[in-house]
Amino acid sequence: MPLLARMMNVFAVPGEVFDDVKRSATAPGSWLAPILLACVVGTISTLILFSRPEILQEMRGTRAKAMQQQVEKGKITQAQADEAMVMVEKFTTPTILKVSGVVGALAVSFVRVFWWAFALWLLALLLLRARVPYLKALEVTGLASLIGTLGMLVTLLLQINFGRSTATPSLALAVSDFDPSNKMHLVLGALNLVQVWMVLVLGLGLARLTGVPFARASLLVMAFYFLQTSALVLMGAGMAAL
Amino acid sequence: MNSSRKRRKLIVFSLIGLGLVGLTTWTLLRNKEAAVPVQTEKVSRRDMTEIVVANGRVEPVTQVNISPEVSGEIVELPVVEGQSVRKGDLLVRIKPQQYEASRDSARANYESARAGLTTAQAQLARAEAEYLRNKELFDKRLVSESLFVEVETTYNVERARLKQAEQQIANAKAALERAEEDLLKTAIYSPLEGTVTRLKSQLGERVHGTAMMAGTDIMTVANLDEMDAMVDIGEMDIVLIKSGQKARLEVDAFRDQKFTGAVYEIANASKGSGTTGTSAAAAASQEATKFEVKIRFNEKAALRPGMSVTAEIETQYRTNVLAVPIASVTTRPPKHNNSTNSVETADSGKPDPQPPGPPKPGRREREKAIEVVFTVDNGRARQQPVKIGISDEDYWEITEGLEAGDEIVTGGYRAISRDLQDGSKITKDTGTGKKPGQDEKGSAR
Repeated sequence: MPLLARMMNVFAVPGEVFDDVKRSATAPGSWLAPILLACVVGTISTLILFSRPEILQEMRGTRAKAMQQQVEKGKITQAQADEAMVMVEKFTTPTILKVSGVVGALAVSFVRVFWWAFALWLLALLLLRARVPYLKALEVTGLASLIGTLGMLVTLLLQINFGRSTATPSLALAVSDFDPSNKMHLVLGALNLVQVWMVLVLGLGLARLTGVPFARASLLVMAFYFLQTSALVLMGAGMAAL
Repeated sequence: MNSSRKRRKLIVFSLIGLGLVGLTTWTLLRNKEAAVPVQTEKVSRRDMTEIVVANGRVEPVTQVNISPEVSGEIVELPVVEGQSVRKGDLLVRIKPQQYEASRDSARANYESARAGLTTAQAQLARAEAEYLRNKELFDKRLVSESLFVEVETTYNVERARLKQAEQQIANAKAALERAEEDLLKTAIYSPLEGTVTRLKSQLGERVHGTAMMAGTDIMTVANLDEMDAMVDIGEMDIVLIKSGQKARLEVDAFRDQKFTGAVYEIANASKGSGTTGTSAAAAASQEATKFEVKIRFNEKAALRPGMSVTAEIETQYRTNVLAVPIASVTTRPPKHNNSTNSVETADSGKPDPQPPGPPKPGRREREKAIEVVFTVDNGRARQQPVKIGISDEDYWEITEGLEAGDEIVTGGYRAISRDLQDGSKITKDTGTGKKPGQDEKGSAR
């Protein structure tokens, strides 16, 4: 199956694509092309997002609110909060946000694919007792990451429409005043439909590579996803509390 | 099977395509513009007093640095710092023995010179008599010419000696007077009634003094009944200051007490303008140009020299003028259609009330930035060029561009200084609004 066909079919018939990946010789394009595409989409999304005054305003508001909460709790004085806000404003100019956002998007595009490939390889080895070549796992996660790239586009459109950076294709979309220090809000934000779709496709990929039933493989990958997300939510809540 | 796959693909791609197209269309159609949260206020008339605020120090009107004109050891120091003294009270006595000896020596020289004069007078009398006798004999040709010339010469020499003796007396007298004067200078008396505000020397210390130059600074005596506030005023404001203007004075040490005063002396040259060369350049690069202004306190209090004081000098007063909060006036590049109404900041001679508006104004734009306020028009901000007059702590006078009752944007700071543009959508934010004078970043001065 040609690369373009793989990249298209992974959305509709991922099982066939992964069968083809398993049968065929290793093809670096299957993971490199999706990563590069994710880099391009991530860069453009970041530049557009941080050019929107309403998004920047909303981020400033969130920061000010968080700082005000700290003042109300008595953790810092108003003068310290004002000073901190001035410092933060200095380091969160649109240009700095764009540059750091683009760098972050590029890093995430690469790390996400390699990390998930490692996770699949490890799950197969430890829990399914199957040896899966890492490069094959990389091809699966690379192709599945195209769903995440599609998610980026959807997220960008939602953020522009709703005028807030926390608008994602998740249950948090229903929360108008998203509070990063609220654990429930973070959990709702973690229930991202596109992410769940991608995780299910990854589960399917693992099933095809190892030859185990889809239900078992997807359950494992889903469990890993929830563990990982929970850890991130707790970390996020901890950071917000600090 | 194959048709089922095709149908599945068709459905999935259609759903994805429709979703993306739908979201994109929604985005394009909605083109949501963020409403900038602002606080607003109606333009009103009020009485305004323009003030110039300056900081400085309390200084006595009269104060004298006491330094000796003769050198020596301090043998008597009957005052302590903070002590009141009357005019003529002894402040310091320098060891006088050396100067007494000098006086005695000078007196002896004087007496010696006087004795010399008596001798010279006697010798002259004798020479004169000899001269007159020989002249008479010479006229009768009874003595030789050579003898007469010799006697005449002796007479002239004695006359010259008399003059010399007289000069020696004058010299000796002057030396005596000088020695007596030096002796008198060993005791220093207070030149005024006041207080010893600073005492730098102590008993037994050797001090140096000369008649021509300032010697060791022993102490400062000041009259604390009349005090001045000596404040530094920047070059932009100094032109507004006139002698006789009233001032409110706040002394840090007397927080609960308000003082008043009046300007009575304004420096003609800036501080440090007298210095030359590299030192002047260095001074200029380190601090802004400041002029010293003296304000006389009207009230008497236990003020001490050196206390910090803040002066609010009332420079202008106007009644019933249109006024807007200082935070509401900002600068923006002029629009083409209102450039004729523009007030160029560079030419106005007034301080820039706010940082220029747009995030990245070019140099050319910055130079031509005009003063504007944002009026409220059906949920949108309208950029309105204005001409500003005087200002007080909270308000700018508006001389052109607004009318009483116009609703204008008064906050927040960021919205006015950066975010708002002509036509920007706004939303009134009543929750966090700050009244004029409370906005810590709003004040232009």
